[in-house]
Amino acid sequence: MNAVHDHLKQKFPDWYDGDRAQGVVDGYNNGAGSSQPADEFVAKSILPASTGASRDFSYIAPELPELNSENCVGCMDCVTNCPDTAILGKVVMPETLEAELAKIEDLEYREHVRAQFSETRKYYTAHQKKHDKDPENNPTEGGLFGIFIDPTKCKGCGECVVVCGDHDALKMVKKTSDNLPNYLSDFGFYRSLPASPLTHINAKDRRDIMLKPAAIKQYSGGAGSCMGCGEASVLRQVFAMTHEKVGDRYGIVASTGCNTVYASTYPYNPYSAPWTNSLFENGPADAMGIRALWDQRGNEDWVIWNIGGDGAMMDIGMNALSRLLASGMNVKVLILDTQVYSNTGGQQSTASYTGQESKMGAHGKAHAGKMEKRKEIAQIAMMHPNTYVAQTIGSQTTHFYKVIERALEYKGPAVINVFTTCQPEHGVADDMSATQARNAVKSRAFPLLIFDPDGGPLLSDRLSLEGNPSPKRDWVIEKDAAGNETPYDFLSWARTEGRFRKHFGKDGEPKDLGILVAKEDRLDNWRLLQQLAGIENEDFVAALKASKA
Amino acid sequence: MPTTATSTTPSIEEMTTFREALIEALKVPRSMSGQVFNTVTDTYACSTEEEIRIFFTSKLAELEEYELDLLLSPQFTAREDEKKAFASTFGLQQFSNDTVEFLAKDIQNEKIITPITLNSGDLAECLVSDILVERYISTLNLNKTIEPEIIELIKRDVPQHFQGLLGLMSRDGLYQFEKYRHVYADLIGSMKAQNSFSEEILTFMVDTIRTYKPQNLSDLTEKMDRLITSCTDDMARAEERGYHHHELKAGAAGNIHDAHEAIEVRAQYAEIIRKAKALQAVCV
Repeated sequence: MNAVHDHLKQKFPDWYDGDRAQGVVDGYNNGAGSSQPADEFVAKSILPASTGASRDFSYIAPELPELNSENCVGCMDCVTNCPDTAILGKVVMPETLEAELAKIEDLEYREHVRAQFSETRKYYTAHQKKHDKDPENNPTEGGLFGIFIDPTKCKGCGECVVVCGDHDALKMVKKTSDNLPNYLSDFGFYRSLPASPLTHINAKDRRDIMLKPAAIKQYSGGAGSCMGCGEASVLRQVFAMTHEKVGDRYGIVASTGCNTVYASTYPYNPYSAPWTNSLFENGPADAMGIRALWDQRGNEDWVIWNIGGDGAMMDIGMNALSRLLASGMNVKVLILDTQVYSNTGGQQSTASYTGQESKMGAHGKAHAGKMEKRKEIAQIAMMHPNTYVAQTIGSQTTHFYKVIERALEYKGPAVINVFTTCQPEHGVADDMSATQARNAVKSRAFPLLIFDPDGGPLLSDRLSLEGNPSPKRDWVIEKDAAGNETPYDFLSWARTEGRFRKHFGKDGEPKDLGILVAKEDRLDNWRLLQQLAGIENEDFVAALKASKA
Repeated sequence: MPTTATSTTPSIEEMTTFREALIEALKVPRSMSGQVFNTVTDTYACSTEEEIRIFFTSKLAELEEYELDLLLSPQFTAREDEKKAFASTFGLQQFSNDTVEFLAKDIQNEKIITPITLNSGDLAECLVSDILVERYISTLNLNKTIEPEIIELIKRDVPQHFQGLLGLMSRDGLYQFEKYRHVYADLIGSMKAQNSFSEEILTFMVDTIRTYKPQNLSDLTEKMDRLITSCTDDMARAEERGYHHHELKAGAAGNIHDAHEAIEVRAQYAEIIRKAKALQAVCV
């Protein structure tokens, strides 16, 4: 109860009826949504901020993550990659923890809670050792670290377990009416603790941003996105970093797409920042208008994000996007590139890959999936005047946060195109967002790039392919201990996704030309980027020499 | 260090054996995992094979301990098969944190070099520092507390070839509370009477006590009923995956891994139901 008030009561404007907002949310949570009286907010097409925080999804997840705190190293990957703000980390000083634990009368429960914390090297030993050595100059002592799951937000996708990986600190357990209350109690304890001390938030490790309550609140969860949605975790990261850089001084224009639907299923809104939903085709124009107004009012330092999918930004709204970029206005554009119209039922977009199975790109006798090649919005955006452009993925956190930070600092338009896994349309498991995105990069399906107009006079000064493995090669070559070489190419990745399934036989080998054309297209695109970035491709040069010899 | 019949403190000979076994385990060549590769390429911006090789051969020493922990702990986390191997010999013994720390320092003096095969096929020689030794030992679970009553029970009632593994798995703070020791003892007693010990049922028993915290056998039976119901309900719902495209839906259960697709969900939950019923049978 009162999560809306807890989050935002200090910020309610005069016209905003916080009690009414809470009443509506409670009504929907209790199954009495349709009996709510007519709502002023709906009449004005307004959703109160952060109402998603009150949404109770505890009936959804078939399983919940269980922590083995002793294996946890505090990497924060689980927290960063969660699409639902459902798993959160906390650093607490030992004396504070003991004081809070002392309030728990049930000894057994007290010990259970204590066991959720551990002395990680990152948050405990690193500080304690320095303190022990020189307490005067290092007054900060070690902090205990714990991970907590909010069962009202967790949909059970299991992404956290996958990114935890060989740390082996998380596993999924079956949720029943017996263990669910424990999660609720544990999360209540988490909420009772003070914020993680700033002294323990590692400035070198940007994943630690998610230890800050204000960063977490930028996207509260409670959105109607699918289990494991790759977009939602990216949105969390973008707005956490935006808040880190400019505080509350930002707003969002969202072009129609999945992101607007799952973020506005009445009455639940995951954002704490003001945002507006525009049409597929005119989000950039809407953002330009807001930019112009803010600038006119002297709010040049406020940030406006325009977010949209590949359908909005590469197809239907591309002319508006191009107009925005040509204007030089200081608008940041985030493209959630799922390579398909995810929201409207899976139609192909110009971002879809050659050979990809989708509606309007069905795989049959006449056509082997999509016949055209993918449009590269990053290259198109680069050719607009003074536009900062990046392609990145949320799970490559250092690269991701670096480009978001730079985009926010850049005085002019910026386009950030992010590969986002769409489980229903890509045909991959709910826990595979991070893995599939990383492998899309590794396979050259979706190369990382940074194009910074301030990088220097030459195109190659401005374009960087850092973050891509084996940047001087065609494909990443993997060798085993025996020296056997295997290229990780486009096919290696495509055969792990349902949308390319029909191109492969049961033995995993390609059975038609379509997928080979797709592979060549990805190689062409990669070689083009290498050329633009001034990188000599060793394989291409060798092949050229061989052909001349 | 004296060893009595009930003591779990290892003798000097056992410590020596443990030390040697640890050194052998730590020396085992490893292949760079995808998780480590991701950290090297992202956090440390090493893209080329050469950069990665140089990073592994000359940059590791420059990292702070916590950075080394974040980077390499996945390669020095004991796997299930390693845990079992150690458990068979040391599963009922207690290695204190001080012992572990001492061992870690001692082993570091050995300057163990573990070859890690990089993606390029190059071998990087990784010095196993004390923090990685500590990590490995701690993930073996052997330094966690094992309640004396639990040890007595295992030694007395459990067939010898399960004792080590059960001893390893039963290191849980939960057993400081009498009611859980009772549940544990009742289940072991019943398994003994029924001669129904198996690794599977013992593992499921320990996991169940930790996750669902039964207050007694009657409560456990009821909780297993609810677990079975929960699994059954989710199996019935398992077809309702939201693929928008029917072709993708039809193909998803084939060669595409999908943890929440019908076939996998049904198989996974059928296993849980089978084990839950087996545990209920023990409760009778």
